[in-house]
Amino acid sequence: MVKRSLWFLVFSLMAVSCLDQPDCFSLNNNIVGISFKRLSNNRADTIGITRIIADGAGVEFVPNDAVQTSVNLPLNLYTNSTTFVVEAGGQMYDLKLDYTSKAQFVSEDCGAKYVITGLRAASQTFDSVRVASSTPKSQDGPGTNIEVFRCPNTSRIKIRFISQVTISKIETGYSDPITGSATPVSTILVPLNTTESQSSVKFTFADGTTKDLVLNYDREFDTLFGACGEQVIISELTVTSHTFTAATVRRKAIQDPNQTNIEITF
Amino acid sequence: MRSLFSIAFLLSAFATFAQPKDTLTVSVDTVKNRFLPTGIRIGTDVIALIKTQRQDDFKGWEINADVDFNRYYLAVDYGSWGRNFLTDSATYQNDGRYWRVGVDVNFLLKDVERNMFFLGLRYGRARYNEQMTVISDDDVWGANTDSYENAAATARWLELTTGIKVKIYKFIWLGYTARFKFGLKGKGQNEMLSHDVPGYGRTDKETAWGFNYQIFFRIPFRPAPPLPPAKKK
Repeated sequence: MVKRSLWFLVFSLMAVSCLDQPDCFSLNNNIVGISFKRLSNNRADTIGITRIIADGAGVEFVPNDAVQTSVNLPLNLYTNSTTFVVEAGGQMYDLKLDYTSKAQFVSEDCGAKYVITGLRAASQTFDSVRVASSTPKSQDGPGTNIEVFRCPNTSRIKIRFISQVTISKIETGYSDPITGSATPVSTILVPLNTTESQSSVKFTFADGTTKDLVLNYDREFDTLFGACGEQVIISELTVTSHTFTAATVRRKAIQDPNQTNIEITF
Repeated sequence: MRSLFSIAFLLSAFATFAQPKDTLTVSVDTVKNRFLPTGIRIGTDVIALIKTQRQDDFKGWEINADVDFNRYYLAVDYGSWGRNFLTDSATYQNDGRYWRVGVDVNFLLKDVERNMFFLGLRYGRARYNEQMTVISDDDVWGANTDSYENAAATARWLELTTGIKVKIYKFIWLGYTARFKFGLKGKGQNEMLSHDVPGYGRTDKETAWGFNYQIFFRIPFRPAPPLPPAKKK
């Protein structure tokens, strides 16, 4: 009889020992990790985000760093959709994410939490977007939910100056002028005219001097990636004329990420 | 805590198997009618009754019954379960009924008192409703107060059970049942995710443990067949 009673006592104590309480830290899983990638090689792309506006003008995020390869953004817990407007490189991109947000009671100590599932890109104006994981994260840190792909730029050449120069402005006549900065640079990216086989580029330097560069090339149109549509393919790049000391073609075709096409001695 | 539970559980299992050696050697017919039930045990979970009296956040009861078919027992549980939590940032209530049905296998075949050490399997179902009000204050998205309700939600799950049932006095039996619950599936959780399913418990993990401490009253149908003879060494 005593032995039987001891059994019941032991198991009554065990029942109490099974009661454990959850951790109250980072209960909501509303952090979406967005990675920027190049469509050409599936590797990380660097993007200069100025700011990100979420759900209209209600919430604005300004990244700490000038350039990013990824960013973590909080989804709105109280709705089933959040729209982000990303301002990067002078352009605005929209990304509308739909998901299911449901509340769940956790404990008397922790209260309730929101559990987000079924993340998907409802609409977007980036080149291409893929959902890598449909369950967002519970805190900042590594981990990608959304991959944003950029189509390769097939019409922009890289010019390298042998010695650093301070460029005030670059004018082409077929695209918006490129405004330079007070900081000396050794390389710069210049768009080519994709409607013609020749581009004339006028450089204005900080000391007021101007130099001209005329380039000729062959053009073809091809669909490299379905998401990018038909793109111009530049080849056989040549320097037709220039007013620099020297201008030499180093690479006749354009690559993304860019490699030096023209090398200039000022 | 789980380690303590596991060690204590194993110790009890070994202790239960350490039965006194039966020296009965009389040859008797133990085959005839051995699968006919000899009685029904009806009981209740004492822990649920105590919790209802002592805890503000729980009210419930559970009725347990089993019928023997030789070493196999058809076990049925039926209960009611309601939780009520009130915090500064949320209130939660649920209320519902549940049942479980399954089979226990007795491993004490030669115990003269017909005590049981059993392992078993249960299939459980619950039907319940739940309400929650959340007062949130997110750093980014600000404050929000919202109420949610799941009316007529249902859930089903499986349980592995083990325990003992011991005859205390004539028709009175005491027992415990430890339950390892898994495979929870729910329906009707349209507005919110369930925190607690009656009969199952908290839903925030893949598995759950349960524990019943039960008192039974046995109603005999017929005399139990004689015990099988002990094997000679």
